[in-house]
Amino acid sequence: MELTISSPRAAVTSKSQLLGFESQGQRYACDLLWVKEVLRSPSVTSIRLAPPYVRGVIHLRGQILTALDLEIRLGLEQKTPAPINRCIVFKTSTDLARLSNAPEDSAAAESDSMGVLVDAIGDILPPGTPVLPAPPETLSGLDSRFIEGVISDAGQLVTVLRIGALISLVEPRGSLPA
Amino acid sequence: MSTSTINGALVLRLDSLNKDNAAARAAAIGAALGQAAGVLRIELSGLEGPDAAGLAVLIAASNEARSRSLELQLGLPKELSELAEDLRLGKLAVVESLEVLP
Amino acid sequence: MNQGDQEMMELFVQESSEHLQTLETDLIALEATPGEGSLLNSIFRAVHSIKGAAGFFGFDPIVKLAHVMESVMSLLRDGQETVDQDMVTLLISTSDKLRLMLAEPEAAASIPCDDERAGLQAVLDSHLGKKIGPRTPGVVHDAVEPAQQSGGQVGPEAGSYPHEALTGFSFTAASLVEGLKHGQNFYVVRINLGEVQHQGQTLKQFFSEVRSIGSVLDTVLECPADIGLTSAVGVVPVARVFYVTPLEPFILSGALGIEGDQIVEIPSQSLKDWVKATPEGVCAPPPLSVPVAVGSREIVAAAKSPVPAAVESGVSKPAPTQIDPKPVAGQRRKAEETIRINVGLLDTLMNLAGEMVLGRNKLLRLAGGGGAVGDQVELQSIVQDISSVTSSLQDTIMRARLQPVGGLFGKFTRIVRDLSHKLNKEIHLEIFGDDVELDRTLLEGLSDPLTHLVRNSIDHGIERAADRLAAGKSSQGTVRLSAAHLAGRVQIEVSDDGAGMDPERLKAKAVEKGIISADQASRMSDNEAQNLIFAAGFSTAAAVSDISGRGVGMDVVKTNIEKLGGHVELDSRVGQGTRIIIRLPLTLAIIPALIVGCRGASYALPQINIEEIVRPGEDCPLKTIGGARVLELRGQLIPVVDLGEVLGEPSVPCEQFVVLLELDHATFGLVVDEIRSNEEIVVKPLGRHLRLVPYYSGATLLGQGEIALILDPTSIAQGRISAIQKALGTSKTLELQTQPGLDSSRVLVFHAGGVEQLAIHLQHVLRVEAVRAEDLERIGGTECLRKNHDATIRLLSLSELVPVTPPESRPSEFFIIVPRPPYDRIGIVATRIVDSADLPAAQIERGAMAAQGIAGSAVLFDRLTLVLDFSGLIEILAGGSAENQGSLVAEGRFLFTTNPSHHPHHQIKQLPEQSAHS
Repeated sequence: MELTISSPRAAVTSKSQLLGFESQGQRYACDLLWVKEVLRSPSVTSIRLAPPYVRGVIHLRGQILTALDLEIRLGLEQKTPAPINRCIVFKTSTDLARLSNAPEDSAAAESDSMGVLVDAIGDILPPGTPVLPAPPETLSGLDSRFIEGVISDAGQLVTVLRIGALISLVEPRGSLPA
Repeated sequence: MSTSTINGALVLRLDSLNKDNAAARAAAIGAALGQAAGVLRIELSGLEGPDAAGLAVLIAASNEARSRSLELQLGLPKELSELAEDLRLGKLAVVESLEVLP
Repeated sequence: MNQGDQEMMELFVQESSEHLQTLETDLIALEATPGEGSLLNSIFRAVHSIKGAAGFFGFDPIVKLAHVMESVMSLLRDGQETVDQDMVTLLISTSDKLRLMLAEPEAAASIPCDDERAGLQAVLDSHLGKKIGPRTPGVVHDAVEPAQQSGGQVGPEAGSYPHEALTGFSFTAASLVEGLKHGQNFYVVRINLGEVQHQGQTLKQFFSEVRSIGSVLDTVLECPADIGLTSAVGVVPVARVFYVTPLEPFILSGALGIEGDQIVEIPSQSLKDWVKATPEGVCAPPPLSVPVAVGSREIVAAAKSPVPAAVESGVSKPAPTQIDPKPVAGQRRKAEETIRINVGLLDTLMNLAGEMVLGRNKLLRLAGGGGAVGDQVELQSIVQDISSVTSSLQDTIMRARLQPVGGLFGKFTRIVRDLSHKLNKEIHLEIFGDDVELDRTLLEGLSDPLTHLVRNSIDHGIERAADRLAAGKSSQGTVRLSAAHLAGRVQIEVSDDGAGMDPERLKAKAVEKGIISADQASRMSDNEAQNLIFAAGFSTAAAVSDISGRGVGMDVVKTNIEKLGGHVELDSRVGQGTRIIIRLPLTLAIIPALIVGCRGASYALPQINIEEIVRPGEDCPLKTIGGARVLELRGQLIPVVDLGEVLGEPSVPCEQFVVLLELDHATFGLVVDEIRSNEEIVVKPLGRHLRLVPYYSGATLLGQGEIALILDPTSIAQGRISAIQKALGTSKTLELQTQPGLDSSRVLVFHAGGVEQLAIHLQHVLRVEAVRAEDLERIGGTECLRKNHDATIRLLSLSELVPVTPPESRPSEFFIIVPRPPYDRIGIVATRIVDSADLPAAQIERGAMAAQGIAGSAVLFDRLTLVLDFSGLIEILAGGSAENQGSLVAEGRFLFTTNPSHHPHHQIKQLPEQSAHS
């Protein structure tokens, strides 16, 4: 996928550090402020009748964490369920309340723990990276409601996610009456 | 007991003011009030402070100063600031605490 | 507003709410016993506390309203006004306004309270008009009456002083607030300074003493007015001190060595009134003459003088005795989100935490030790320590969450009062067991359902006075709210002595509303018909009143109670009244559960719903009738739902179990693949995405960190059971008994090893279990069945309790009949289960076989059968009276307490006693 990123009007620059990660060969990033911790090869218990984008639940120190499947949540077709490798755990409303400058969409956090399953954790991208508007859904196939924009890192396109929307109860696109 | 003039105020320094020396002090204060132009400042350095008789002298001095349209200042050791407050000496004179003198 | 102030604020709101609660309860009680001095005092104190605290934070509208109310209360307390209906209504209405104001203290001014204030003021004014006689201490109007005892001079502005004796002093209203708030005493003390010296004290020493027991608000030094420097010698001035101290006059006199007649007490009420009237008020004598160079003086004074500038300059801004009342706008005060905890409990928690740390340190040491021989043994002991500390911690924390139910019950005095006035019925509310403690989450959840129930009792239950008299009852109806501990559960009951519910009317209504068919109605028992009120959309009120009868009442009550893990039962007798019984777990966070397996995954089913576990076979086959799956058990057809199908996995494995789940008025079987274990589970909430799935009420962690979802039987049954019942209803070949749980005439017929055939009412039976003799353990003379580490069932041979022949020998496999909670920790030994049968009470012949624990005899299956009296059995077990049943649990005489974690109070005490008995 080769997209021109030399947009004449460089849009927003990210105000905070971004955590990069990889899933199904794609690179993503999210506001580091959202990230609470990363679990290595967690054991995921699947739940009958759960929404398709919920891979299951994870036992995390006495709490039950809901693990989301990133691709399905973003509206991508998934051929085979990816093996579970890493889980990025996001902060809850309580955790965020302790931050002096919480991420913008922090209102979406509730007291329940949430995480997304990814393949690998990448680098931390410094603040100030220009964030360009996301390509239209028709090109990327990604649900734009969950996308903040894209950035370019080492010549590769990195999709910046809106974690607040991603973990919120927003219905997946497919279920909307178009 | 000594007098001097500082910043236009006539300063009268006393080490004590009690029934034993009330008559003498009253006279001295009366004299100082006659000399002062604008402000008379009485500095009472003794840590005992005035006794009842001394207070009577101060009250009289205050009345006298008021009738002469003079401002009366009273300097007292820091240790006496509570007493000055309890007795509301501020009604008689402008109370200031004296720096500890060696 | 800083953090500390914020906390103070929250404390204020919380405390004031508590005072309001007291206030309201007492006011209602006052109506019943108007002259009751202790009530008047208590009300007065509550208003006073609210006023004081509000004043501290500067919430003037609250202070003003509380103040007039307090003044009126003071009249009532002193017997100068009488309490009547109007007065109570006015006071209650005032307390309502106070409540509204306290909910948003910063916005208190926006709450209209003119009517209340005017009403109260009118009382005060009329009183003022009435009274011309002698002054009464403590009454508001001292200030306006001329004081006789003043020793001071009367100044030209005496009228503006709150008290005559204060003439000549300078002070501000703000400077009085602190002392008034703390109920201190105000005095004007005349001190002859010369006498002080005669007693051997310097002025400095004397005044430092004065300062140590109170504070000087102002001092006037008095000398003859014309004193001059020449005439001053020999004059001894007198200091008049306006003084505030907690001390009483005679103590003050002793402490300062001053004659009592030199001390004038200023009634604090008059000061209060003055402060209220002129909160910015300043009192000062007229200036004697204009001092020179005022401007420069003030600057000097402000910078250097130890005397506060306010006093120095005579007139000034009020001293900053108030905490800045300006809060951050829009912040909500959540008093309910704080909890008060007993200090003893907190200490226990601290100790346990300490032990926990100790254990951790031991583990760390062991971990660093490098695996020496003997470590294993030590590890074992550490693990044991830690596990015992952990369970104590759990218990203590659970206890910390418990709060008395009285707070919740208290608000009903008000509701009952208001409603009975509105409906013009005479109703008396009785409250029992308000000290029973419940988890605060449960208390919160109970509030609405209880309100519904109480309203229903008043609106529908209790008849009008005339009807009551006609029915031969007293004109006053009684609504009773009670709470009691029954082993691991709490039972809350709302009962009334009203008209009761007429089953025929209910049936007719239900048929009319299309909830049941006429055919179904004809087959319903009375109790089933009465349970119809729990059906959605059912309301019998002839006209919809604004109190109840909107048709959303009882089904909501039931749903809410079930959400809390509880049950609702109903017992109503026409003409006698209605009892509604709510059973709740003690706490929500930990529940006993059965872990079942389905398609490889584990699920937890709350024990509270489980009636019996059945393995379908020849005796009790799973059938499909009219397209519906049912289990035929002891002659009944029970609707069955396959858990796998519910969860969308229809493949059927070979071996199956049916867990019979009892909901409030339906029993159904849930088909599962495996029965795994009984466990105490800690309920964890599910994330928001999973809350969309109705069948799960939460999740829990099992032993090895495995996650099991907690099933919600109610939502699984939703829709399915009625569909099955409908399907069954169309095939008329079978006689239906779809609700065995409620039928009180059903008995279980069994043999206990002796010659007699016995029967026990099924309503007392939780389940029947097959037991192998080798699984039993003997503790002393007692046989026990250990289900797992925390649930022990004590076996009970009937021959030990009632006159039946003892068993000759016991087969290697037999049954135990486990009674319903709270007695589900005993098992009655049965060698053979015959069947269940219908045995109407009329067919039991009493007398011939009379003995405690035996209700009588009857002929069942062609044999004479002894019918057990279950409550009689329990009494025998309890060693006589029914009152001992509770203590029996505490004394540990039997192992039939429920799970220890339900009984944190008894757990530790019980252990040594058990061993002593065994």
